[in-house]
Amino acid sequence: MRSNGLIEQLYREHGYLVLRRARQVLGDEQEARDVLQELFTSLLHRPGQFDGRSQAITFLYSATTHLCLNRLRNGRTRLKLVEEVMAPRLSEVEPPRAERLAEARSLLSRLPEELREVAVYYYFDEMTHEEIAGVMDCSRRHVGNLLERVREQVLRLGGASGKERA
Amino acid sequence: MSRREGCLSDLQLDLLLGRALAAGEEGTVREHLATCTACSARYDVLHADREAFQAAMPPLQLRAPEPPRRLAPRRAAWLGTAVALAASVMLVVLVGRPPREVLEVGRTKGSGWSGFYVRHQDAVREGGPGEVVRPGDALQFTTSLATPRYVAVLSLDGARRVSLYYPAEPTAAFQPAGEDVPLPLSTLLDGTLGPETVYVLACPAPIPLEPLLSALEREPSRPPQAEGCEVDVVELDKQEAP
Repeated sequence: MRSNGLIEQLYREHGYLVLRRARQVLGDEQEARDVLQELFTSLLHRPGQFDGRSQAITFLYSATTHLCLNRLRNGRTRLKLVEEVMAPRLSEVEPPRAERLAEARSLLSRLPEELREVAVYYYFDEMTHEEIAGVMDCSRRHVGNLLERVREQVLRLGGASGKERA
Repeated sequence: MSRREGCLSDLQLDLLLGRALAAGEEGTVREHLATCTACSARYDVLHADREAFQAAMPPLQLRAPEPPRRLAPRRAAWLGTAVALAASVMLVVLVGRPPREVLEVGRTKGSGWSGFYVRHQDAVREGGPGEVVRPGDALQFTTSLATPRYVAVLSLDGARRVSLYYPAEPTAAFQPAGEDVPLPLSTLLDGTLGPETVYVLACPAPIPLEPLLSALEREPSRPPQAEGCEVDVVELDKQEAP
C-alpha cells in the first residue's frame, strides 16, 4: 500500500467502514467525517504507517479506533459523551442498538485510557477474543486479561458487561 | 452485547465484502449467511452502506503545502512523488445542481457528462463553459455515468503546458456510475494565466495516461484520444485576481 493510487483505492473500497465505525464510537457525524479525512490524509502523507503485515481491513479497524480514542481525549467530545444518559437495563429485553451504543460511549469515556481500545472492539464491534487479538496484534490471553479489567471497571461503574464472546 | 452466539461480527462481514477472507473462511461465512436471517440482514445493511459511500464519497481533503503539480519538464520523476499529490488536491464542498443526463456508451465527446465546481476563497459555484477562474481556486470535477468507467483529467494551460489533474497515478482510475459523482481528489490551480483546456476522459479500461500526456505535449491542438474513451472538454479562462 505504498502508492497514492492504492491509497485512493483503499479509500474507495473501505472508506465506508471507517466512517461507520467512527460514527458508532463517536456518535457524531461531523466528527466521524473528520476521522475519515484524517485517516486517509495521514496515510497519503505517510504511507509507511501501513506496513502490509496485517490486512488492509484490520489495519483500518485499528487506525480508526486510535483516531476515535484520540478525539475522546479532546475535551469537547469527552464532555458530550459524558453528558449522554446511560440507559438503565431494567428488563430482560435487549435495548435498541442506538441506545446500547450510547451506553457504551458513556462507559468508554469513563474507562482508564489503556482499556479503551479493547473496550471499543468488545462493546462496539462485538468481536470475539480471537478477532480482537488479530486487530490488536497480541495474544488472546492478553485480550482476556484486558477484558477482565474492563469488566471490573464496568461493575464498579455500574454499567452492563455484556455476555462472554471467547 | 447483542450478537448471538455463533453469529458473524461486522469485521467478518467487512472482510467478506472486501473479499479478504481466505477461501475456506469465505465458504464458512457464506454458509452461515445462507441460514441466519440476522447475519444476512446485517450483511445487507453493510453492503448498502458501502454502495452508498462509493456513490457519494466525500472528496479527500488534503492541504497544499506547495504550488500545484506540473508535468513538464520532468514528468516521470514528478509522477512518483507523494508531495505532488498533496500539492494539488483540496476539498471543495459540493452544492446542489439540476439533474444531468448520464453518459451512454457510444456518445461522442463534448456531450456534457462531466461537470465541475469552483471554490474561490470560501465560496463555491458551479462551473460552466469559459468559466473565469483565478490562481488558487480549487476545481472539483464530477461525472454522470450510466455505467462505471475509468476516468482521467488532463489539462493544457495558458503556457501550453500539460498536467495530469486526476488521478494521482498515471493510469485512469475507476469511477462508479451515478449522477454528479465527485472525483475523490480536487485540483488547486496554479498561477499560470490565460486560456486553459481541460479534458475529462471516461474509458472502458484503466488505460495508461503517459502516452496521452506525451501526445498532448507534442500536438496541443489535438484533444487526447484513446480507443473506447469518451472525452469531455472544459474551457477555462484563468485571470489574475482583481
